[in-house]
Amino acid sequence: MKLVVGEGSCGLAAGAGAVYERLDTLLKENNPSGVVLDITGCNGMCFLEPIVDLYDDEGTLHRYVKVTEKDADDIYAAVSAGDLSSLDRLGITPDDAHFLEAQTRVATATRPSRRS
Amino acid sequence: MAEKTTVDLGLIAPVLEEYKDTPGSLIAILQQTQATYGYLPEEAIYHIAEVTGTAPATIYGVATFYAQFRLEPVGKHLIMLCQGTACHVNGAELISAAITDELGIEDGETTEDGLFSMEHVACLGCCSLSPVMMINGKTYSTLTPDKCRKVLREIAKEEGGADA
Amino acid sequence: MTQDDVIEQIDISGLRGRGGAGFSTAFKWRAAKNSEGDEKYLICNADEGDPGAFMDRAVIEGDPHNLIEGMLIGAYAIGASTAIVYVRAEYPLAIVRLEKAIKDATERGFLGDNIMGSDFSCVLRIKAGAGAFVCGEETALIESLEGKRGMPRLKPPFPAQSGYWFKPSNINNVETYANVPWIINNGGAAFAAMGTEQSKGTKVFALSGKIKRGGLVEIPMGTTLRDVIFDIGGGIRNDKEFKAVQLGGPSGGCVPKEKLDTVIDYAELGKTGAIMGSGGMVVMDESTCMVSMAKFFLDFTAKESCGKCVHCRLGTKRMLEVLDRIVKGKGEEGDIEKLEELCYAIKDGALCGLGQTAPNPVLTTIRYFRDEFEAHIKEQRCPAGECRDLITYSINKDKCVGCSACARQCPADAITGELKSPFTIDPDLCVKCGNCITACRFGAVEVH
Repeated sequence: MKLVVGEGSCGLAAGAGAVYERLDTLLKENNPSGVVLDITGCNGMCFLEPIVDLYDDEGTLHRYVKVTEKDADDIYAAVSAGDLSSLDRLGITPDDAHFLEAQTRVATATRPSRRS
Repeated sequence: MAEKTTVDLGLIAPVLEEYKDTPGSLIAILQQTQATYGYLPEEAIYHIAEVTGTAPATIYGVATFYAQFRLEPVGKHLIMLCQGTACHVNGAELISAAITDELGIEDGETTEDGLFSMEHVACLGCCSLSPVMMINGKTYSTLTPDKCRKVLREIAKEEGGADA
Repeated sequence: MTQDDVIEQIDISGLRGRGGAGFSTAFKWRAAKNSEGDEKYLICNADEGDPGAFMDRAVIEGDPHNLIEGMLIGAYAIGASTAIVYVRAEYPLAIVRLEKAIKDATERGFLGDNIMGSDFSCVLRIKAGAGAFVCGEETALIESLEGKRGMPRLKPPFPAQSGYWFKPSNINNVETYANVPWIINNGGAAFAAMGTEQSKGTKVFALSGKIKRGGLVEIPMGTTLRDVIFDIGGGIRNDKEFKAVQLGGPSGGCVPKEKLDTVIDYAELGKTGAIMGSGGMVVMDESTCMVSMAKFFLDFTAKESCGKCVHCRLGTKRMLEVLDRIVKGKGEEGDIEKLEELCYAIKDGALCGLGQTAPNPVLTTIRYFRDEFEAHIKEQRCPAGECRDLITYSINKDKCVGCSACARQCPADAITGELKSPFTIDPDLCVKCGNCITACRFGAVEVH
């Protein structure tokens, strides 16, 4: 399982730094196996920052938006419990997801990291 | 105004050693000099002129051309207020007024106690979260005059100073 | 692939410079390749000086290796063994991320000598800008790389013949290079399959301002402005009325409602008076004063003028003086004509592209919003309610409950009254900061 926090300048301006720190602290303290934390740049959805992308064990992407430092605790709890349903409130809405889906990404295409 | 103390030119000796024979490195030298002292002291400029064989007037010409270079020291907390288009449209002027109101300084000025300086800067590139300001590398976004005042007061509190 | 093979694919793709000028990339690469000399340079313009643009920042921070790859392909194509990225000083995080990417790439053999075991060697270094909009102009950028004041050179000769240290150099924008790996991987024809006749491929825009969903939008050329703003961007915040969209930063113009169905294409946007620009797209609503916007851009260009040519140096200053008088209610009959005259004179005589396009924001705002200029000049009225010297704040007695919340927030002590009775604002003391509007829970403060 992989957690990726968007840390472009806009993400950081919106508070992503604190979200990353909190997740990092929680993961280091409790050390659940198989959970990797990483950062990424700006994917262009600045209006939804901070954004946390969670790739579950099947590789499916769950995108959580406008994540606060407090939400980081909830994300950690859900990951440890193995049940992500409580995080639905943070999920991206179809309207907002349309922002990205309607685009044709060439220069700003995101290539998912192959590091696991 | 922060006092100007005698400048230790030895601090930029490594920079000059590295770049003195590299053509076209004046801007890099000035950037590292400013990183060392917080601004470009007059003594440093004359020293750089001597070591690199460049006329002081040329150096002053470059230092005054670029917005990044300061010839005066700045406060401990440099508030860079973005003047980009999106920030302007979303009220950057009101934020500037709030800072002036709270700290008593205008663009380019420093507070009496040397704690804060304000600089109007060009676009920081966080346009979707405008208005934006950066203080010592930390970015604050979607500002309102109130939010801005809170940030400034918190920094002042951490410094142990009394409320302005 | 040989060098010519690479340039061929770029030619087929129809890629045009994404920094704003829209010049054929293949043409520039071919010119640099064909220039005599063994010492050639490939330069990336990451100055991104347009206020309101952050596409390049996102690419460098998020996918620096894509940029490095694009630049390496370009360096190979033109025969350069040194590549330089000129990044603006205001992007410290981008510089840090790029430095790491260069270090990683060098360690893995993607940069340096005999890249991936081939005959091609290339080093890449970063040069930080020091805060000057004019350094986004390619020859001014070269001057800055040489450690001098960033003042443009006369063209011709073009950088492809005589650039950095007067050697053949190719300069392209970050976004231009960022498209290159995709083009080589998928073929130039695939890129050309998207877009319009004269504008192939996609373009990245930085959508911001009074928009619901702001951020980076990359769409095929040929998409309408309406689609970008209302479909992808979700329309105007708080459901206010769309007024205009500013494209191309200080070199561009404001496009009004009537032109929203204009397709994104270099020529079509040019017809509106705006330009494609580097991608800044700032949306404005009914509360934005277009005269104030024109002044904002002139403030910028006048301050950033390098001073080398009289037309830009004095012309922008004089235009700013006129606009300053107008927003303060001191406009005079003939001011609009004076502005237009100055605009055309500057366009004619300025040395570089930035000077020549500096009048664009003023020309487009006069073209589409002349009535606002006239209201400011003839009636000392700001229809949008923005210009501080032309508006007054007052308290609606019917809505005010006398809670004093506004008075407590007023920095000028301009609001007085007795509790539980309507308060009043003294217009002579009021600085129009807006604190009272934010403080009032009853919407009692009004702007006229």
